[in-house]
Amino acid sequence: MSNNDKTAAEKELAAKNMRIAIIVGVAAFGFYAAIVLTYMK
Amino acid sequence: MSDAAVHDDHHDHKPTGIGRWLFSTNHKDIGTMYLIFALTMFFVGGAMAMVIRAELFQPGLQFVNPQFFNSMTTVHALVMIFGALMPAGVGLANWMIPLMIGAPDMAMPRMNNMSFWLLPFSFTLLLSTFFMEGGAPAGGWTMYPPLVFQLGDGFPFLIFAVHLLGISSIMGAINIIATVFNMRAPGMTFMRLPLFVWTWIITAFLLIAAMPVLAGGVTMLLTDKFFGTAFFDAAGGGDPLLFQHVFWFFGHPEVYILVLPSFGIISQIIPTFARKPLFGYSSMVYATASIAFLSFFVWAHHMFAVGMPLAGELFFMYATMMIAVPTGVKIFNWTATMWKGSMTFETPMLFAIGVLFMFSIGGFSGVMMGITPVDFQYHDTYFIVAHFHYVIVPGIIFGIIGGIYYWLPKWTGHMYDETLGKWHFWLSTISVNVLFFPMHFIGLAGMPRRIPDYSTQFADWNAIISIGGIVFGLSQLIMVWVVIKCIRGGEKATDEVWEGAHGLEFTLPSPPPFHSFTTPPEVTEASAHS
Repeated sequence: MSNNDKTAAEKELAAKNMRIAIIVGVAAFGFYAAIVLTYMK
Repeated sequence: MSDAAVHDDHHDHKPTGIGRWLFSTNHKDIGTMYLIFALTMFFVGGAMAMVIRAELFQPGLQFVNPQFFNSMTTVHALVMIFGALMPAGVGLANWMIPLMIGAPDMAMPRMNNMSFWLLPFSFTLLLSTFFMEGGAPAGGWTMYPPLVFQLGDGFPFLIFAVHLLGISSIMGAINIIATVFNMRAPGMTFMRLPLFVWTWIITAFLLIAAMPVLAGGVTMLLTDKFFGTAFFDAAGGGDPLLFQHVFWFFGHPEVYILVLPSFGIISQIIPTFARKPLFGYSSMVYATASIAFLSFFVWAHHMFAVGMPLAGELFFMYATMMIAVPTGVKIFNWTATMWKGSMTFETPMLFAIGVLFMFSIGGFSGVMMGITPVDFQYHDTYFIVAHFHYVIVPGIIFGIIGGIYYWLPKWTGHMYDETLGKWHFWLSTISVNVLFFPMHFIGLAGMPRRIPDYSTQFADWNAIISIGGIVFGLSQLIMVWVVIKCIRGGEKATDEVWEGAHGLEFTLPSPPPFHSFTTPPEVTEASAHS
């Protein structure tokens, strides 16, 4: 299905899913960076 | 069967050929691939366990040299934990979460595909180290420095494999969180979610918090080895013990990453075969969350023997004891669900009851080891091996197997062979206890773990343990045969499958259509907790 074929509700759901993915993904990367940077001398 | 469930049958076309699997975005197909991969890795890791048990059948060196023996113990653990147990849990989550919450698929199907396909590449990297100069990892799955730096050419392969596994797990966790948060059917509130879904949301958050810590730890190993840093090198101002802290900050939550989905599975199975709603639903949810929360405050009980301040020892000892409280709540609730129920003992129920009894054995020995002063006696002995294998094999693997028997008729549309299922359960249960229970005795008597030879005083028990191991390994072939037989045919399964089954997944036909719940079902209080 191309993006143009999606209904407004589907687009809204896709945006909500993407928002969660970005928030959780950034949190995960943040933990990773924090653990390395904390102990970097 | 609801109309919504079979809506759009004319859209129920499946892709064909290899492309169906390589480029799959269907949660059922990806779930199936995860489960097949996990089963394959279960037998790869199992074969390594057979080498270990063959070598330990009698004292002296029989079949393999000590270096290879150490590789077997190390890679057996890595393969079983990251290759068999975690993918099996994710496979079940992929298959069942959308069906249980009334969603058409996972929130991000393409990322779902990528999460899976990273795994074969990762394990190819890991297993290829057997053919490299210096051999496969042999310093233990915990990868402690400086021992891990003795690994030869395989070292960067090990580190890269662990990174890929971490990325795969984190993407899987993101997908599960997004799916459950955004794609529940109308009326499916959080406190109406099936327990299996709840355990997976909590597991997903554990993965998000724990896997990056492991990734950070192994990145620091990599830079210490190749880029001149000294995170863990005392000569350069670092501290080797730092790695143990970092590793176990990941490692203890990892135990719950593995076990919580198993708890979720038996929370589905027991009410079905007791024909009663789950006792104490809310307390189960809160107990699961409490276990997950507390798991971040107990890591140093894995390393009491390194020496730490008394206050630290006391803190980690008491925090460890506290985990027994929510775990006890869960055991009580499962037992209370069965109390005065109209119980029947089909294979999934047998495996669930097996989890209840035998996980408790592992739990009790865990409490014993959490007591700091006596942990010094148990440390690095076979008592530890007995403990964590009771948690992992009858606690986690039995739960996964129970889930496979429970949902297999739903997946395939056929009932499995109940007689063979029961043979599988009883042979597994007897052999798993012959395999792991005597390890308590030889551990308390002082037999060290990760050693290919031992004092002759341990010979009799080791021979018995090895026999138990061989019987347990062979018993698992029964399950493979049952699954193949069930896929090929058999008595037709109804939509409900089990007389006492409830939940949205049982409103769908067996097997469910390729695209299910394209129109979301309505969930009511009565239908959610009946």
